[in-house]
Amino acid sequence: MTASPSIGPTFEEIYRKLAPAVVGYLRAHGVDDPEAVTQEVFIAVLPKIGSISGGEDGVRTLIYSIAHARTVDHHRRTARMPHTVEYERDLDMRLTASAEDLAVGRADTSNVLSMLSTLGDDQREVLLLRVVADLPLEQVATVMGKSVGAVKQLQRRALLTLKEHPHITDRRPR
Amino acid sequence: MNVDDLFSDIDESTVDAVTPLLLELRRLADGPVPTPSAELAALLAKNVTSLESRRSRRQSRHPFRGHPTITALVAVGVLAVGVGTAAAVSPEFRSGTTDVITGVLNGTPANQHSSGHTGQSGPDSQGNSGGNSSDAPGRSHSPSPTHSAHPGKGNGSTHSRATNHPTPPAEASAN
Repeated sequence: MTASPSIGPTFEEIYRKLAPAVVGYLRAHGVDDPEAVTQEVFIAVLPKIGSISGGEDGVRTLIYSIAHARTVDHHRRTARMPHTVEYERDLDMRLTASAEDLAVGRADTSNVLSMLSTLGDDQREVLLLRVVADLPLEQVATVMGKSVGAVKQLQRRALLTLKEHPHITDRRPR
Repeated sequence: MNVDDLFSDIDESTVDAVTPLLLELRRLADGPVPTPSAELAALLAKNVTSLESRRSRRQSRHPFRGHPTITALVAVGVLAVGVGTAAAVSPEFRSGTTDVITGVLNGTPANQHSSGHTGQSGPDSQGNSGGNSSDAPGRSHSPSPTHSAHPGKGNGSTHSRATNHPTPPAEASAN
């Protein structure tokens, strides 16, 4: 199946369906202004959408391929220059949920992001693409340019590493 | 996504340990839809196409734009064809080209031959610049390439150019 070039509402539906997860994926990578970068990703996808094969899965793979490239660019850029963005509370992994946050049920992901930072880059990327982006193994392999077997191994090692994280071992009943 | 999909080859204790963590991670994808920027909102609207596609079409109409190497190669090719045509049509052009090559090989600017700056005779200049002759030992003993290039021409100007070895500018000023 090939996505129609006349995108109008269809592309808007795709945006509404996938944009929140793309924002979460970029936020987990610590990208500055993930909402703005998400919009850049969709703007970059738009000219190519007529040539995508594979229906919604194909669109999803392309979107995360571009988002993945943006995160790589971001990490290279931040490695070269000092980080000079304003303080953003949501990105601060040292914080715990306030009573207010707990009361209104706001998502507090600082704990899990802190744990993910202990993983290797590829292991963390596999988990984010599998869990946040909701991609199957084959599409994760396409986005990362690796074989399915390699992705499977990375995923397995990531889960085993997380299992041994102090946050989890402390919670475990003795 | 059902996180159980992740655990196809993971033991049960690991599954129990990391499932709450993965569910927490999954909540990252549950945020609000970001409000589209003006550009994206315009693209999401009907009957609006991205400028990017127009740019790529315009780029395709000018295939060499943005490829300086290709442009340079094309320019060199055009020059080569022009020079070849001129050489084929005009014997004088060939002669002049030979003079230029001879001048380059002798380390002498070609325009000095043609502008008549040949007041210094060969033996004088060689005598005044012994260091230079030692730098280029073959030059003073070997016959001029111009002679061998045009043995039967009998062109007086060519002959005079071949026998005169003008002094380089620095030496001329010293004399």
